[in-house]
Amino acid sequence: MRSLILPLFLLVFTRPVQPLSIPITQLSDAVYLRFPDLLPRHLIDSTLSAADEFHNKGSMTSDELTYTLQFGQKEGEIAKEASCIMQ
Amino acid sequence: MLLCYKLTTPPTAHIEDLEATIASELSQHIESHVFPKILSCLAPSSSYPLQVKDTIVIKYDASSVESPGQPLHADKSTVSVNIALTNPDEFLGGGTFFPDLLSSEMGPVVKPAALGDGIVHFSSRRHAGVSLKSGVRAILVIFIDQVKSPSLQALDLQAKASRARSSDPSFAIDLLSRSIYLQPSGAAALHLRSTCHILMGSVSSALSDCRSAASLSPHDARYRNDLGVVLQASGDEAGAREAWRESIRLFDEYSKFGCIPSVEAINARLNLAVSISYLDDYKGAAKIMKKAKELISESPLDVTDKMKGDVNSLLAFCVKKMANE
Repeated sequence: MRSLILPLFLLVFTRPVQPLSIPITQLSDAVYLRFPDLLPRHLIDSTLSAADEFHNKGSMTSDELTYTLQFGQKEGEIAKEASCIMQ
Repeated sequence: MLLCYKLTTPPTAHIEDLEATIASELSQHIESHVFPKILSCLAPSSSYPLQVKDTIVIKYDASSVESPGQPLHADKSTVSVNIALTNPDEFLGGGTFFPDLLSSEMGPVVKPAALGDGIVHFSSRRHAGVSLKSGVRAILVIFIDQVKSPSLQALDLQAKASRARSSDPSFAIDLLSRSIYLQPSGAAALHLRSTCHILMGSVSSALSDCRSAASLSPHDARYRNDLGVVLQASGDEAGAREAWRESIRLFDEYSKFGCIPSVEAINARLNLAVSISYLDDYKGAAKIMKKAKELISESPLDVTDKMKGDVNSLLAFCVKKMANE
């Protein structure tokens, strides 16, 4: 019943969080950094639109046990009761 | 390419799925505008070149999926850039949750201030996509590697050790020791090495590594749970219960801030309830198991039949004991 939980992926960088009064420009001193306007408006719109177009081309069918997804050339099955890999 | 899908996970589109001219423009923008900003915040080791590992669009839509989000996880690249493709006022809930910010003044959930704003963090820092309550939240996530950097080498070694752990824990320990040498503050490597030591029967080494991991990453509920397991193995029952209580408290905090409930929170409860039942505190153990049953009903996809069986068996055992008292 007792079990060790193993991480799926692994945490590497663990540094103390600095007080907010200290200006932080290095990522190693912070949990995260903010950058305004990393993407211009026209690229935001075109990226979203292209992603929607990709998903609209997709289809999903299902039977008793699985969902079958088709996005362009990619097809895969997802078990209804568990996660799985799509290739 | 392999894509991991879960039914609670929102749909994603990779850059190569997008129309070619848009993908090309996006790639050029990343190299010309995003890379310099990343380099500026990685200055001490900026001699290592940057390389995009993957670029994906994730769309959380609360109208098509109930409470869409991403469970707590870390990614195997150097840096993650999370750019808002929708305005923050277009959705309720959402944002990125960092356990490492639990004790910070601003709270653990980070949201963009405006459309196009980016959040940059080390990919290996645990984070979650907070469940969306309403509206649509779309983000562009760019995974960037700092090629051949010590931190990336450390991640590779950990990934190899993770795969080797069950079949050859001694080899995994060697790999993890090299990883820790490259990245001494690597809590995950220490944690993973502690599980290898347990497999090798070295409880004292496991305890040392697990204590170090929990100390380096005090808000990681999994490390507290495993510290409890190792303390139990070392004979420190009271210390183990304290660690499991702290683990449960942290898991509850995660849920309070909108993280998808984790199956690991049930493990911690099982561990504590078993230990408490050894003290003949059947009422306390039953209370913990009732909460575990609630969690199971919230996250049915990840819970194994064995875990459900263990919870039900322990609860039934405690109820029976209470009736006989």
